[in-house]
Amino acid sequence: MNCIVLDDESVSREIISFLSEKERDMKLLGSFSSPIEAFKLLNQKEVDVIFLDIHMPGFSGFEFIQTLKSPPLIIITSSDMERAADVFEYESIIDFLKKPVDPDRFQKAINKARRLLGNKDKPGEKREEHEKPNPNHLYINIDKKLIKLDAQKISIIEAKGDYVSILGDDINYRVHTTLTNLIQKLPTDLFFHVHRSFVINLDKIIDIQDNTILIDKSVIPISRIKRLALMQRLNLM
Amino acid sequence: MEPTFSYLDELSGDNQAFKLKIIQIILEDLPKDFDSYTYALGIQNHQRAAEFVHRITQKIAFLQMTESIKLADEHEMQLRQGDTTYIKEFNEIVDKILTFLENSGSS
Repeated sequence: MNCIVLDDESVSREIISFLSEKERDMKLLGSFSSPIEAFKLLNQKEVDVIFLDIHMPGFSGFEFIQTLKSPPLIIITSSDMERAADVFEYESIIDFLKKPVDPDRFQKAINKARRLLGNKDKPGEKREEHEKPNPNHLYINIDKKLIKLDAQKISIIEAKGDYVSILGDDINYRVHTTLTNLIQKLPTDLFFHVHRSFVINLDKIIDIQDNTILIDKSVIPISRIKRLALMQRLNLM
Repeated sequence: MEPTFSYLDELSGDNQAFKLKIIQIILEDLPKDFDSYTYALGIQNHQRAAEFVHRITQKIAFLQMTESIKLADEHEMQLRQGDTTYIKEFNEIVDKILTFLENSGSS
């Protein structure tokens, strides 16, 4: 089981490293204080588990997850229990370890990761994969009517309070849901969460300048950390 | 509440080198975090100061100072609203930790 740690607190990194080294089947590939280094490693090596802090200078662990195309299993490590409920928004998060990390709780989290990783290639799981709905099509509920949307035609999705606006080629809908819920229904290779309130279709980008992206006629903001992750997704010359 | 090594002792087991390594890191990082916190307060950047309080709170937690953690959490929350009520109490906690570590840990 390959793992990495991303935490700005050096003591926390040391403790996770120490506990990981005691597990015979765990290999710590890296321990990082900044997401940039973590991105580099994630692009080079297969990582099964990330131990991820929530509060880091300039970005949050949740923002980091949103920048990952296919997140591995995530174990959140944080002293902020007020954010514990937020983990349910992310399918990749399998546990929440309160700091300072209790060795027994660490063991339980690792066992959970082992079980999930052990199941991932079983035939039953693969059959389930085939039964998943086609992510290229999305059904939204508007006035008790299910409307089919072609994901390719969506340009921008914007969070507006309890609603999201879906905009694109002949598309302009307002749906009662969260951005996080909607993202999970979209093809991950096509859409990118560029900002707390915006998801964009990568095929619709016209240009990128500093901290903004031009899509159709709309200028969408992008944070520094998301920009870095976006650059890794693009086919740059 | 006084700091203790109970968490670090349980975590480290027989590995005293690991315990000393953690103490050394806290001794190196805590004054830096505290300097940054003081600087942020000095320039009235309370949000930044709150971020450093959050970092320092994690170090307090390693030393099992439950009441101090509550105060530090409260201080962080108040700072985010521009309220500096708990500066004196927070400074005392940091002083207490540094004195405890310098006297007992890394020697």
